[in-house]
Amino acid sequence: MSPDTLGYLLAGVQHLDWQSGVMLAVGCALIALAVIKEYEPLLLLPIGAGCILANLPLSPLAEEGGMLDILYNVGVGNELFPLLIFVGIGAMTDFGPLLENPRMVLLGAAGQFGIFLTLILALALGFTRNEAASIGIIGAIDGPTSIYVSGQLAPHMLGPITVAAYSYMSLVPIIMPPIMRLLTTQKERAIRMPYSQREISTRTRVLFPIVVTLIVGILVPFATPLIGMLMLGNLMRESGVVERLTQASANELANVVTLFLGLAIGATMKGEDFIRTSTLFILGLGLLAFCIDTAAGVLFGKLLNLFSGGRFNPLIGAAGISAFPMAARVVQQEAQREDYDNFLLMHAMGANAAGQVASVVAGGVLLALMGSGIA
Amino acid sequence: MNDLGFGLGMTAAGMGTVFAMLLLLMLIVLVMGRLDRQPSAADEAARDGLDEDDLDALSGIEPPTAPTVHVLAEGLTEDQLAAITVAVLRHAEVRRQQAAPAMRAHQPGSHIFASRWVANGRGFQTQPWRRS
Repeated sequence: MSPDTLGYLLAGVQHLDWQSGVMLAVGCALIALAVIKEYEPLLLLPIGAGCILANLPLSPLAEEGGMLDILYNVGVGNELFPLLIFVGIGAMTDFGPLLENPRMVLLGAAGQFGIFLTLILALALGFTRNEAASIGIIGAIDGPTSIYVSGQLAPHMLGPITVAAYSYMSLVPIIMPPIMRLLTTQKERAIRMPYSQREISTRTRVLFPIVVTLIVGILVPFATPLIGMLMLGNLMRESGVVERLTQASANELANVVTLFLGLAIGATMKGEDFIRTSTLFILGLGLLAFCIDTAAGVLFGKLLNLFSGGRFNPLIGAAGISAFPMAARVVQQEAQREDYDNFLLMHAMGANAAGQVASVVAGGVLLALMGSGIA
Repeated sequence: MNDLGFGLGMTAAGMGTVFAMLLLLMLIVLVMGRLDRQPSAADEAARDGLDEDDLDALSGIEPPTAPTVHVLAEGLTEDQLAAITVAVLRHAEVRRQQAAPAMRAHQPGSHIFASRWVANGRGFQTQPWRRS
């Protein structure tokens, strides 16, 4: 037996440093959140697994040419995976509540305030402009948009930004209610809003994704990849003529890409890159962005309440973020806490669908405004 | 200070653009909804060449009465028949939801009956232990 044999056998143990140990614990924590708490398990479980696989000592998976490296280059480095996920999201999203009540679109815009206010805070904390914009986009509360934008502006921060975006999305039922209660009175939360369902014709449903793509694509070309893929999925769904493609996009494609994306993102969480003070700032600022979004939405709802003579329930404003459909569900739960028979869900779904479109538009606008910073 | 100015400028330009874009979108969707609205009675009358006098005359006609139920089966009351009807409809709805693609499991559901039943058959093939 060669004297080096023992060294070869114990190579893994010898190369295990404290940073890898911390990241292995982080990976396990993400998997625990997914398995025990069921917080966004579809994403957090693969991310946790990718994190563990990339931080195991001498892991060939994360080295150049390894599987995780290939996945990153194939779909994250060139922004392919987030766009494919958007096709699936479009195929799963029903914009009907938004088409029934188009005025809810404005609530989607109000839900994007957090992006820009967080950007200012990040600049104040010393981040570069591209980094600050990438941190701000966590405020879109939209995982694929966050990945797409930060992948273009600050690829080195992709790991913590993605983890923050998806973690906070899963914490919607915990983060939003206290802010909603703080900013509204009991009387406001109990406001009932009648809902009269209007039948939306197939023609309108089919025209909507086409019109949105044309308008947004022409006015904000930077948003074309995001909005184009989202609306392609929705067009397939609403046209009803490509049921197989719709099913494949909503199920097989979205599932496979989610797995690959999660693993590739997890693999970016290497100890030496992830364990930094900046990561803590990113996580903190991301949470702040989410809180600002919720608060801005509720305050905009209060403004609408003022203009409508007290007939608009300001809770609906909180659904203007992109976390679809969790935000709408939380609004309904909060309204029911005050008045069990109050049914706001369909109004909130309209605002929530608007938030989905608005976050994509905001991502494109952010890229357009940062255009000079793109490498 | 320079960065603060940049951040404020970004906020103003960014939120302004997002609001403007979504306002435009809202107007377009409103117009689409207006163009797509169901024709009213007056619209239909105008299309059929009827004037207001004709409409008034038509308004005097009594609307059709609600259909009456005649129980033909012996030993069944109207209530029992109604209960059976509801049960049959509910069963059909359950079967429809089982067969429909997940995203269209609720009203109005998919109208592509063929693919729905193919999906149902595949489901029973791959999960033969499931009760229909």
